[in-house]
Formats: sequence, C-alpha cells, structure tokens
Amino acid sequence: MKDNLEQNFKESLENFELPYDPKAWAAMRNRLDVVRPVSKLPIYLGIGAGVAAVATLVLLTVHFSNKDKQVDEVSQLNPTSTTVNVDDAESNNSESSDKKNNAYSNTNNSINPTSQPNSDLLPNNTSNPSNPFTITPSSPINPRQTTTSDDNNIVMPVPEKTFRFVHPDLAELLCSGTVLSLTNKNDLPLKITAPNGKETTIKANDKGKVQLSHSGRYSYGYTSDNEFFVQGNFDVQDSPDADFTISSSDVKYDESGLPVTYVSSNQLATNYSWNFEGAKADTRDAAAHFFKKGKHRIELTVTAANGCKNTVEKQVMIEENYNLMAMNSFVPTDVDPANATFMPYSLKLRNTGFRMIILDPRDGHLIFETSDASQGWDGIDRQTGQLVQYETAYIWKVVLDKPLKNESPEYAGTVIPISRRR
Amino acid sequence: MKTNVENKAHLTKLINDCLSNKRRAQEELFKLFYGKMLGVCLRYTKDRDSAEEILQEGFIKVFDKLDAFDYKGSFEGWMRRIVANTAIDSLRKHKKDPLLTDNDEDFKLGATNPLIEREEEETITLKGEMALAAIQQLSPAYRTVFNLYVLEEYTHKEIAEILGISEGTSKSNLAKAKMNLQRILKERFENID
Repeated sequence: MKDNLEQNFKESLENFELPYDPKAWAAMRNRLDVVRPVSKLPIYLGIGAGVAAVATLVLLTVHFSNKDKQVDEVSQLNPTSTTVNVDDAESNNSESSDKKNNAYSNTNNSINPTSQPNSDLLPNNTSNPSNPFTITPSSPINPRQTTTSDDNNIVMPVPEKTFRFVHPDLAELLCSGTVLSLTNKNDLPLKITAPNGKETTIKANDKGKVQLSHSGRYSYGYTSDNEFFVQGNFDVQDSPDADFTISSSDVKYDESGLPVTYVSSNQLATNYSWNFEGAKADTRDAAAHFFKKGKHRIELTVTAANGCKNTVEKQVMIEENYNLMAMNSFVPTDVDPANATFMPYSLKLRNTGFRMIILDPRDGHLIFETSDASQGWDGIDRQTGQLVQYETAYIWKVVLDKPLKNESPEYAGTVIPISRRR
Repeated sequence: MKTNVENKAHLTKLINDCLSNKRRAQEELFKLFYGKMLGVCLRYTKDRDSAEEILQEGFIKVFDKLDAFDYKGSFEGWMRRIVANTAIDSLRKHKKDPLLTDNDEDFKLGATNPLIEREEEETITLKGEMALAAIQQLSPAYRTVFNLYVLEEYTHKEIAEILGISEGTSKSNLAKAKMNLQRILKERFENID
C-alpha cells in the first residue's frame, strides 16, 4: 500500500521527461566510438535515395580548398566527377581497389584510439601523384546491409586538395585538474570533448586551452558544417588527492631542542615532497622547524603511481619565538650543577658549534665566554674572579656556527643570577 | 516522436538496426528515450552532469545488451531497469558506503535548484521538476531507497539484497526519506500538498 506522498511522487515522476539536448548525442557518440571503435567517416555522402540504401557504405572525402566554406561542395555533384563502382569500393581491399581505381588511394580509416598522429587517415602513397586527392572507403560494417545492385554507382566529386588532419601535440602524461594548452594546426576548428561531454573548440590555426577537469578518455577531431569528426583520443589520468595533517600535540620542541611542527600526508603516495619555506623533506611523516613567531607556510606535493601530482598548502601558527630554550635565571650556589650554571637548554641538546658571551649591561664589559655546551656560565665575572651581583640582569649572546635553514645565527637574552630558587 | 515509441513495428526495426550497430538508429533510440532516462538518472544523482554521465553509461549497456531484449515486456521498462541499475552501480563505485549510512552534510536545504528556475522558460511539468528537485536534496542513502521502493517498486527485501543493507535499514531509510521530503516540500514548495 502506497501512501499519498509515495503516490504523489510516483505519479509526478513516472512519465517525467526532460527536453532533448542535441549536444547529448555528440557526447554519447564519442563514448560509443571509444567503447566499440567502428569505422567512422568524416562526411556522409547522401547522394540520392539509391545511396541512402547503402547506409553502411559511406565514402569519405574531405574536399578542401583555401576557403573553409568550400567544404560544402563535397556533397554536390560535380561535372568533372569520376564514377566509382560501389562494388569496388565495398570490397574495401586496399590493393584491389587501388588496382581498379588508380585515381584513388585506399586506406582503412577506422578510428583507433592508439593511432599514431598523422598515420591513420592518410594514405601512405598516392598511386597517381598527378591526381592528388584521397578517397577513403570504409570497411563494410555490416555485410548484411550492403547491396550488390550494379546500378548503385556513386558519383565522386574531385576535390582540389586533400585535407590532412594535423594531430595536436600531446604530452605523454596528462593529469586531471590541469590545463592543456593546444595548438590547432588545421584550417578547421579543433574540437575536444571531455568524458562528461563537455566540449572545447579551438579555432582554425589558433592556440587554446582545455580544462582537463575530468579524468578519462577525451576525444578530439575537427568540425566541419557543425559535424564533429573524431580523429583520435587521449587519456587523462586521475590526479591524486593531496592533504596533510598538522599534529596538534603540545610538543613544541623535539629531542634536539629544536622547535618542531609534525606533519603527515593523509594519502599514501609514491613520492612526497615537503616544502617548509625552503626547507625540504621527502617522507610521508615529516618535521618542520619554524623559528619565528607567526604564520608559516607548509606545502606538500604528492606524486601518484601514474605520475600525476597534486599540491596542497597550509598555514601553521607558531606561538612563540625560538630562543634556544634559554632560562631567564639560575642559582650559582645550587648543588645541582645543571642549575648552578647558565647554558641555553637547546645548545646542550643540539650538538652544534657556537660561541656564547655574557655581558654586563651597565658597562658592556665581557664577563664570560664559552664554546662548550657543557661549560655554562657559573656566575663568576672572569675579569674580577668574583661572583656577579644577584638579582641583576646580564645579557647573553649566542652566535651559531651553522644555523639551520631559516634560522637566525644570532640569539640573545637576559639572565638573572639569584641566590636561591624562588 | 512519441507515436513512434508506441509504434511497436518501428521500435522493433529500430532495435534491429541498433543491433547492426547503425549509428543513426542508435541516435534515434537515444533521442527517443533520452528525456525519460535522464529523468531516471537525475533521481539518483545530485546534479545534471553526473546524471548525464550515468545516462551515457546506461545507454552503452543498453546497446550492449540489446540482443537480450525478448520483445515480451515493455522496452521502456526494460531500459529503465538497466539505467536504474547503472545508477545504483555508479553510486556503489563512487562512494565507499553511501547506502548504509546517512551523512547530514548531504542533506542541505540550500541554494535554489536550477531545475526550478528553468521551469518557466521551458514548458516542463512543474510537478515532476519539483518532485525531482526534492528527491535530489535527499542524501544518497535515503534517495536510493526511496527510488527503489517507490519508483522502481522493489520490496524492502529486494532492496536489502541490492544495496547490501538490512531490511530494517531499508525501511527506516524510506521512512526518513519521506519525512525529509515532506519537510522539503513544505519549506520550499509550499504550493504543493
């Protein structure tokens, strides 16, 4: 039993129909061509009812002169036309046809997705060079449909010039989400259809861009008289997803006493390339070191197995300036030697060359100097040999021999010797 | 065109021609059923682009399986099944498990639906457009069950098998779908009962 709502929906949608969109067939036809390549011909010569009966036998000819408009003439009878016997053309045997009709060169023009540019639709040799035009009969798609009647003669116009489709240059790897720049070297518009049917047209002898928004098989070809003649296909690979997670843990400094931001790619990839404002890393999990307070940029480029890349960029907020994790006070009389001397904590962990000096801010004289992380300042003024005054601020300065990428070589701060822990 | 659909002899010939891989026949068949089948696809998707893609896939299957059509039942019904199945397959493929769970993010009563805006310039049955627009606003989980139960007339047992969910989930998703549809209709199309 259906209730009212169900009944309402069923009735309103049962025979619901959308208006026909002629573009839809173009997209559909392209898909059919790709799925099951069959002989497809640029121009159907509908000459009289007799020819129409031979629906599957269509002769291709592209008549082409300096002016695009003259393409129309293809379908017109031409007083200087040559007669081709249907049976000959039907045989679709290049050799025999060539023998019988020296004027034409035959070639099988079925569209092959892997066709090499310029090879498919072009005859390799023209038997009669003085008659430089090409007629390309199709292979009989369905022998049952062909007729053997002798009066089915087709009158062929003599084109003035052969139209040779120039395939666009395509990179070996095309990835979704990118823009493809193409040059159309043909005197006819170049059309590219995406897997979803979206079309891009590049004017004759012009450059253009194709948004490769979908992965899958794209078709391209030329258009003439609003007809699209597929000449080839190319595949667009899926670009990988790119995203990463910035660790939200409270760890701000790593075991080497460096400020750290841990990052991890959310996707597995063949290759990772991190860029932390110039510093690099190439593992799925990586550590960034930002020394200054404020916003910093993290960029990750992942490369998928198919070679396509994707890049994502994020900002991270660093809460404080890095100052070698230095304490601002120490107790010279403490029993624990770690507390009884002053040495910025990071220098004890980093194992990096440096020079540290302690200055008296009142007269600027040098109180202490060291390059050894295990020999911190014990509160003694080297010039007097006496303990300096307690509860007074002294200046420390550190110069690193080899600062890290983006790290300042100089650090400075104040430190106060105190008589006991407060 | 419509009279042609009813004309069985013509359809038979058309199917035969399609079997011979005649592009013109395929084009005609495509033209004949494009509107209705797109309507079917739209019920399973959120937007027209995805619907068109499913439609193409469906037609490829139709052309492929055409020799299996036995002329006993309605051709349109036969085609509708194939297209609907294609839509369900595509849902399965594209999302991990959209049919089991429901994601609230999918259920939004947001922007105006372009289908509604277009309704005035094109003389389409208003009601069908509205029904479709409402269905499209459902989450995939609700939408699929609603489509299968109400429009394709599967039983809950069959739906459970098709979608790999329990009968209970199918029933509850249908109930929720209907609740949501009522709300959508009330909020967005107050002129409908």
